[in-house]
Amino acid sequence: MYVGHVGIALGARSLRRDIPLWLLVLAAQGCDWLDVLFGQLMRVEDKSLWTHSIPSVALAAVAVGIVARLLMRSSTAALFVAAVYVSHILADYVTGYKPLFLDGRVFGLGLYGRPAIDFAIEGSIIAAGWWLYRRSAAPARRSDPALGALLVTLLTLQLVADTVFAIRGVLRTERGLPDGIALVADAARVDCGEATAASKDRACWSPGPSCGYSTASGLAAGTTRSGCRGSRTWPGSATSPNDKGGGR
Amino acid sequence: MRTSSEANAGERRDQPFRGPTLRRATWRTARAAPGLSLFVRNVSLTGSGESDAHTGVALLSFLLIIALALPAALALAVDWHIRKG
Repeated sequence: MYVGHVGIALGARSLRRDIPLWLLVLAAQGCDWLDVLFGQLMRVEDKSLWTHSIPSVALAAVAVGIVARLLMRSSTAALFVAAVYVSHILADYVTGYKPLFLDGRVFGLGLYGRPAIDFAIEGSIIAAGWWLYRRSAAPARRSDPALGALLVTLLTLQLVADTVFAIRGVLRTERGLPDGIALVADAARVDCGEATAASKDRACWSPGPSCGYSTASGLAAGTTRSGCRGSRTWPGSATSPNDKGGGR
Repeated sequence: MRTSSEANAGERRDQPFRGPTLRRATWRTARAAPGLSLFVRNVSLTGSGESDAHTGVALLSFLLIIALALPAALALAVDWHIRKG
Protein backbone atom coordinates (compact mmCIF):
# COMPACT_ATOMS: atom_id res chain seq x y z
CA MET A 1 0.00 0.00 0.00
CA TYR A 2 1.24 3.48 -0.79
CA VAL A 3 -0.86 6.55 0.04
CA GLY A 4 -3.39 4.37 1.82
CA HIS A 5 -1.08 4.31 4.83
CA VAL A 6 -1.46 8.07 5.14
CA GLY A 7 -5.22 7.61 4.85
CA ILE A 8 -5.07 5.19 7.76
CA ALA A 9 -3.07 7.71 9.77
CA LEU A 10 -5.63 10.44 9.02
CA GLY A 11 -8.44 8.18 10.11
CA ALA A 12 -6.56 7.21 13.25
CA ARG A 13 -6.00 10.86 14.04
CA SER A 14 -9.75 11.41 14.11
CA LEU A 15 -10.07 8.70 16.73
CA ARG A 16 -7.32 10.05 18.98
CA ARG A 17 -6.97 13.80 18.67
CA ASP A 18 -4.43 13.87 21.47
CA ILE A 19 -1.88 11.99 19.41
CA PRO A 20 0.03 14.18 16.96
CA LEU A 21 -0.48 13.34 13.32
CA TRP A 22 3.24 13.15 12.65
CA LEU A 23 3.52 10.27 15.07
CA LEU A 24 0.63 8.44 13.46
CA VAL A 25 1.95 9.01 9.94
CA LEU A 26 5.37 7.83 11.01
CA ALA A 27 3.84 4.74 12.58
CA ALA A 28 1.63 4.03 9.57
CA GLN A 29 4.55 4.32 7.17
CA GLY A 30 7.10 2.94 9.61
CA CYS A 31 7.74 -0.37 7.86
CA ASP A 32 8.44 1.41 4.58
CA TRP A 33 10.85 3.86 6.18
CA LEU A 34 12.69 0.95 7.76
CA ASP A 35 12.67 -0.66 4.34
CA VAL A 36 14.33 2.40 2.86
CA LEU A 37 16.80 2.56 5.71
CA PHE A 38 17.76 -1.10 5.53
CA GLY A 39 17.55 -1.56 1.78
CA GLN A 40 18.78 1.65 0.25
CA LEU A 41 21.13 2.96 2.90
CA MET A 42 22.38 -0.10 4.76
CA ARG A 43 22.07 -2.56 1.88
CA VAL A 44 20.64 -5.31 4.02
CA GLU A 45 19.82 -8.39 2.01
CA ASP A 46 16.23 -9.59 2.22
CA LYS A 47 15.31 -6.40 3.99
CA SER A 48 11.61 -7.19 3.74
CA LEU A 49 12.14 -10.01 6.21
CA TRP A 50 13.41 -7.49 8.74
CA THR A 51 10.80 -4.84 8.06
CA HIS A 52 7.59 -6.47 6.86
CA SER A 53 7.45 -9.94 8.41
CA ILE A 54 5.20 -10.60 11.36
CA PRO A 55 8.02 -11.08 13.91
CA SER A 56 9.82 -7.92 12.84
CA VAL A 57 6.63 -5.90 12.77
CA ALA A 58 5.69 -7.15 16.23
CA LEU A 59 9.11 -6.21 17.57
CA ALA A 60 9.08 -2.80 15.94
CA ALA A 61 5.52 -2.18 17.12
CA VAL A 62 6.64 -2.74 20.69
CA ALA A 63 9.49 -0.29 20.17
CA VAL A 64 7.17 2.26 18.62
CA GLY A 65 4.73 1.76 21.46
CA ILE A 66 7.48 2.40 24.01
CA VAL A 67 8.49 5.59 22.22
CA ALA A 68 4.86 6.69 22.07
CA ARG A 69 4.47 5.91 25.78
CA LEU A 70 7.45 8.10 26.58
CA LEU A 71 6.20 10.91 24.38
CA MET A 72 2.53 10.80 25.26
CA ARG A 73 2.76 9.47 28.81
CA SER A 74 -0.30 7.39 28.05
CA SER A 75 -0.47 3.62 27.79
CA THR A 76 -3.60 3.66 25.66
CA ALA A 77 -1.98 6.13 23.27
CA ALA A 78 1.05 3.86 23.08
CA LEU A 79 -1.13 0.87 22.26
CA PHE A 80 -2.97 2.91 19.68
CA VAL A 81 0.22 3.99 17.93
CA ALA A 82 1.53 0.42 18.00
CA ALA A 83 -1.73 -0.75 16.43
CA VAL A 84 -1.33 1.84 13.67
CA TYR A 85 2.16 0.48 13.08
CA VAL A 86 0.81 -3.06 12.79
CA SER A 87 -1.87 -1.84 10.37
CA HIS A 88 0.89 -1.31 7.83
CA ILE A 89 1.60 -4.96 7.26
CA LEU A 90 -2.09 -5.88 7.23
CA ALA A 91 -2.67 -3.31 4.50
CA ASP A 92 0.38 -4.47 2.60
CA TYR A 93 -0.87 -8.04 2.54
CA VAL A 94 -3.80 -6.77 0.53
CA THR A 95 -1.89 -4.80 -2.06
CA GLY A 96 1.42 -6.62 -2.29
CA TYR A 97 3.35 -9.70 -1.36
CA LYS A 98 5.05 -9.62 2.00
CA PRO A 99 6.81 -12.26 4.07
CA LEU A 100 4.84 -13.81 6.88
CA PHE A 101 7.80 -15.13 8.80
CA LEU A 102 11.55 -15.17 8.47
CA ASP A 103 11.62 -18.15 6.11
CA GLY A 104 11.22 -15.85 3.14
CA ARG A 105 7.89 -17.14 1.90
CA VAL A 106 5.66 -14.29 0.90
CA PHE A 107 1.93 -13.88 1.20
CA GLY A 108 -0.61 -11.43 -0.12
CA LEU A 109 -3.19 -10.61 -2.73
CA GLY A 110 -0.73 -8.64 -4.83
CA LEU A 111 -3.19 -6.05 -6.04
CA TYR A 112 -0.37 -3.93 -7.41
CA GLY A 113 -0.63 -6.35 -10.29
CA ARG A 114 -4.20 -5.12 -10.79
CA PRO A 115 -3.79 -1.36 -10.51
CA ALA A 116 -7.46 -0.51 -11.11
CA ILE A 117 -8.58 -2.63 -8.18
CA ASP A 118 -5.71 -1.35 -6.11
CA PHE A 119 -6.69 2.23 -6.80
CA ALA A 120 -10.29 1.49 -5.92
CA ILE A 121 -9.26 0.01 -2.57
CA GLU A 122 -6.54 2.46 -1.68
CA GLY A 123 -8.65 5.36 -2.90
CA SER A 124 -11.48 4.23 -0.65
CA ILE A 125 -9.15 4.01 2.33
CA ILE A 126 -7.73 7.45 1.58
CA ALA A 127 -11.21 8.94 1.18
CA ALA A 128 -12.48 7.27 4.34
CA GLY A 129 -9.48 8.42 6.36
CA TRP A 130 -9.80 11.93 4.97
CA TRP A 131 -13.52 12.00 5.74
CA LEU A 132 -12.93 10.92 9.33
CA TYR A 133 -10.16 13.47 9.68
CA ARG A 134 -12.31 16.25 8.24
CA ARG A 135 -15.20 15.31 10.48
CA SER A 136 -12.97 15.60 13.53
CA ALA A 137 -11.78 19.08 12.58
CA ALA A 138 -13.34 22.18 14.05
CA PRO A 139 -16.61 23.00 12.24
CA ALA A 140 -15.24 26.31 11.04
CA ARG A 141 -12.30 24.58 9.37
CA ARG A 142 -14.13 21.77 7.63
CA SER A 143 -14.74 23.86 4.52
CA ASP A 144 -11.11 24.93 4.31
CA PRO A 145 -9.90 24.50 0.72
CA ALA A 146 -6.70 22.94 2.04
CA LEU A 147 -8.68 19.92 3.17
CA GLY A 148 -10.17 19.45 -0.26
CA ALA A 149 -6.77 19.91 -1.84
CA LEU A 150 -5.36 17.27 0.49
CA LEU A 151 -7.86 14.67 -0.68
CA VAL A 152 -7.37 15.49 -4.36
CA THR A 153 -3.59 15.42 -4.08
CA LEU A 154 -3.48 12.17 -2.13
CA LEU A 155 -5.76 10.50 -4.65
CA THR A 156 -3.69 11.92 -7.50
CA LEU A 157 -0.50 10.54 -6.01
CA GLN A 158 -2.11 7.14 -5.68
CA LEU A 159 -3.41 7.36 -9.24
CA VAL A 160 0.06 8.20 -10.51
CA ALA A 161 1.52 5.26 -8.62
CA ASP A 162 -1.09 2.85 -9.95
CA THR A 163 -0.58 4.18 -13.46
CA VAL A 164 3.12 3.49 -13.13
CA PHE A 165 2.31 0.00 -11.88
CA ALA A 166 0.00 -0.55 -14.84
CA ILE A 167 2.65 0.55 -17.34
CA ARG A 168 5.19 -1.59 -15.59
CA GLY A 169 2.83 -4.54 -15.75
CA VAL A 170 2.45 -4.11 -19.50
CA LEU A 171 6.20 -3.91 -19.95
CA ARG A 172 6.65 -7.02 -17.86
CA THR A 173 4.08 -8.90 -19.87
CA GLU A 174 5.84 -7.92 -23.07
CA ARG A 175 9.09 -9.21 -21.65
CA GLY A 176 7.51 -12.43 -20.47
CA LEU A 177 8.01 -11.62 -16.81
CA PRO A 178 5.42 -12.63 -14.25
CA ASP A 179 2.82 -10.01 -13.53
CA GLY A 180 1.44 -9.22 -10.13
CA ILE A 181 4.71 -7.96 -8.81
CA ALA A 182 4.76 -4.32 -9.58
CA LEU A 183 6.04 -2.64 -6.49
CA VAL A 184 9.35 -1.15 -7.45
CA ALA A 185 10.88 -1.62 -4.05
CA ASP A 186 9.93 -5.28 -4.05
CA ALA A 187 11.13 -6.08 -7.50
CA ALA A 188 14.11 -8.32 -7.77
CA ARG A 189 15.02 -8.32 -4.14
CA VAL A 190 17.14 -11.31 -4.79
CA ASP A 191 20.78 -10.54 -5.08
CA CYS A 192 21.93 -11.98 -8.34
CA GLY A 193 25.57 -12.43 -8.95
CA GLU A 194 25.04 -11.51 -12.56
CA ALA A 195 23.24 -8.33 -11.72
CA THR A 196 26.38 -6.42 -11.12
CA ALA A 197 27.76 -3.48 -12.95
CA ALA A 198 29.16 -5.85 -15.53
CA SER A 199 25.68 -6.60 -16.74
CA LYS A 200 24.43 -3.20 -15.65
CA ASP A 201 20.90 -3.96 -14.70
CA ARG A 202 20.19 -7.59 -15.33
CA ALA A 203 18.19 -8.90 -12.43
CA CYS A 204 17.68 -12.46 -11.38
CA TRP A 205 14.11 -13.47 -11.93
CA SER A 206 14.45 -17.20 -11.53
CA PRO A 207 12.43 -18.89 -8.88
CA GLY A 208 14.07 -21.90 -7.40
CA PRO A 209 15.49 -23.44 -4.30
CA SER A 210 18.22 -20.89 -3.86
CA CYS A 211 16.87 -17.82 -5.58
CA GLY A 212 13.58 -16.06 -5.96
CA TYR A 213 10.35 -15.69 -4.07
CA SER A 214 8.27 -18.49 -2.66
CA THR A 215 4.78 -18.71 -3.98
CA ALA A 216 1.93 -18.14 -1.59
CA SER A 217 1.47 -21.86 -1.34
CA GLY A 218 5.11 -22.33 -0.68
CA LEU A 219 5.78 -24.06 -3.96
CA ALA A 220 9.01 -23.36 -5.67
CA ALA A 221 9.20 -23.90 -9.37
CA GLY A 222 11.50 -23.25 -12.23
CA THR A 223 15.18 -23.22 -12.56
CA THR A 224 17.83 -21.29 -10.80
CA ARG A 225 20.13 -19.00 -12.61
CA SER A 226 23.71 -19.42 -11.60
CA GLY A 227 25.03 -16.79 -9.29
CA CYS A 228 21.74 -16.10 -7.60
CA ARG A 229 21.58 -15.70 -3.90
CA GLY A 230 18.38 -15.38 -1.95
CA SER A 231 15.56 -17.48 -0.67
CA ARG A 232 12.43 -16.56 -2.54
CA THR A 233 10.40 -17.51 -5.53
CA TRP A 234 8.01 -15.31 -7.43
CA PRO A 235 4.48 -15.35 -6.09
CA GLY A 236 2.08 -17.02 -8.43
CA SER A 237 4.74 -17.79 -10.95
CA ALA A 238 4.60 -21.37 -12.04
CA THR A 239 7.32 -21.07 -14.60
CA SER A 240 10.62 -19.38 -14.72
CA PRO A 241 10.54 -16.17 -16.68
CA ASN A 242 13.99 -17.00 -17.86
CA ASP A 243 12.51 -19.92 -19.69
CA LYS A 244 10.59 -17.41 -21.74
CA GLY A 245 13.66 -15.46 -22.56
CA GLY A 246 13.16 -13.15 -19.60
CA GLY A 247 15.59 -12.08 -17.02
CA ARG A 248 15.59 -8.48 -18.06
CA MET B 1 27.47 -20.20 1.28
CA ARG B 2 29.76 -17.23 1.42
CA THR B 3 30.29 -15.38 4.65
CA SER B 4 29.59 -11.68 4.74
CA SER B 5 33.30 -10.86 4.90
CA GLU B 6 33.94 -13.03 1.86
CA ALA B 7 31.05 -11.39 0.09
CA ASN B 8 32.40 -7.97 0.92
CA ALA B 9 35.84 -8.94 -0.30
CA GLY B 10 34.40 -10.26 -3.53
CA GLU B 11 32.31 -7.16 -3.85
CA ARG B 12 35.35 -4.95 -3.57
CA ARG B 13 37.13 -6.98 -6.22
CA ASP B 14 34.15 -6.80 -8.54
CA GLN B 15 33.53 -3.15 -8.01
CA PRO B 16 34.07 -1.50 -11.35
CA PHE B 17 34.08 2.08 -10.13
CA ARG B 18 36.83 3.17 -7.81
CA GLY B 19 36.59 6.82 -8.59
CA PRO B 20 34.26 9.47 -7.29
CA THR B 21 32.05 8.82 -4.31
CA LEU B 22 28.95 9.39 -6.38
CA ARG B 23 29.79 6.56 -8.71
CA ARG B 24 30.59 4.26 -5.82
CA ALA B 25 27.32 5.14 -4.17
CA THR B 26 25.31 4.58 -7.30
CA TRP B 27 27.02 1.28 -7.93
CA ARG B 28 26.27 0.17 -4.39
CA THR B 29 22.65 1.10 -4.86
CA ALA B 30 22.59 -0.94 -8.02
CA ARG B 31 23.96 -3.89 -6.09
CA ALA B 32 21.37 -3.41 -3.38
CA ALA B 33 18.42 -3.09 -5.70
CA PRO B 34 19.14 -4.49 -9.14
CA GLY B 35 15.47 -4.59 -9.97
CA LEU B 36 15.19 -0.85 -9.81
CA SER B 37 17.24 -0.52 -12.94
CA LEU B 38 14.58 -2.46 -14.80
CA PHE B 39 12.28 0.42 -14.22
CA VAL B 40 14.16 3.18 -15.94
CA ARG B 41 16.93 2.81 -18.42
CA ASN B 42 19.25 5.12 -20.23
CA VAL B 43 19.33 7.69 -17.49
CA SER B 44 22.41 9.76 -18.14
CA LEU B 45 23.54 12.03 -15.38
CA THR B 46 27.24 11.45 -15.38
CA GLY B 47 27.66 11.29 -19.11
CA SER B 48 30.04 8.40 -18.71
CA GLY B 49 27.76 5.92 -20.39
CA GLU B 50 29.17 3.02 -18.42
CA SER B 51 27.49 3.88 -15.15
CA ASP B 52 24.34 5.44 -16.50
CA ALA B 53 22.15 2.52 -15.55
CA HIS B 54 23.40 2.71 -12.00
CA THR B 55 22.95 6.43 -11.88
CA GLY B 56 19.37 5.73 -12.82
CA VAL B 57 19.12 3.28 -9.95
CA ALA B 58 20.41 5.86 -7.50
CA LEU B 59 18.00 8.39 -8.90
CA LEU B 60 15.14 5.98 -8.40
CA SER B 61 16.20 5.27 -4.84
CA PHE B 62 16.04 8.98 -4.23
CA LEU B 63 12.63 9.17 -5.90
CA LEU B 64 11.47 6.29 -3.71
CA ILE B 65 12.24 8.31 -0.61
CA ILE B 66 10.58 11.39 -2.07
CA ALA B 67 7.52 9.36 -3.03
CA LEU B 68 7.25 8.07 0.51
CA ALA B 69 7.74 11.47 2.11
CA LEU B 70 5.48 13.42 -0.21
CA PRO B 71 2.02 12.28 0.96
CA ALA B 72 3.18 12.33 4.57
CA ALA B 73 4.52 15.88 4.30
CA LEU B 74 1.36 17.00 2.56
CA ALA B 75 -0.89 15.58 5.27
CA LEU B 76 1.25 17.13 8.00
CA ALA B 77 1.26 20.51 6.29
CA VAL B 78 -2.51 20.54 5.97
CA ASP B 79 -2.89 19.38 9.57
CA TRP B 80 -0.62 22.18 10.70
CA HIS B 81 -2.64 24.63 8.61
CA ILE B 82 -5.93 23.41 10.03
CA ARG B 83 -4.74 23.49 13.63
CA LYS B 84 -3.15 26.89 13.19
CA GLY B 85 -6.45 28.27 12.00
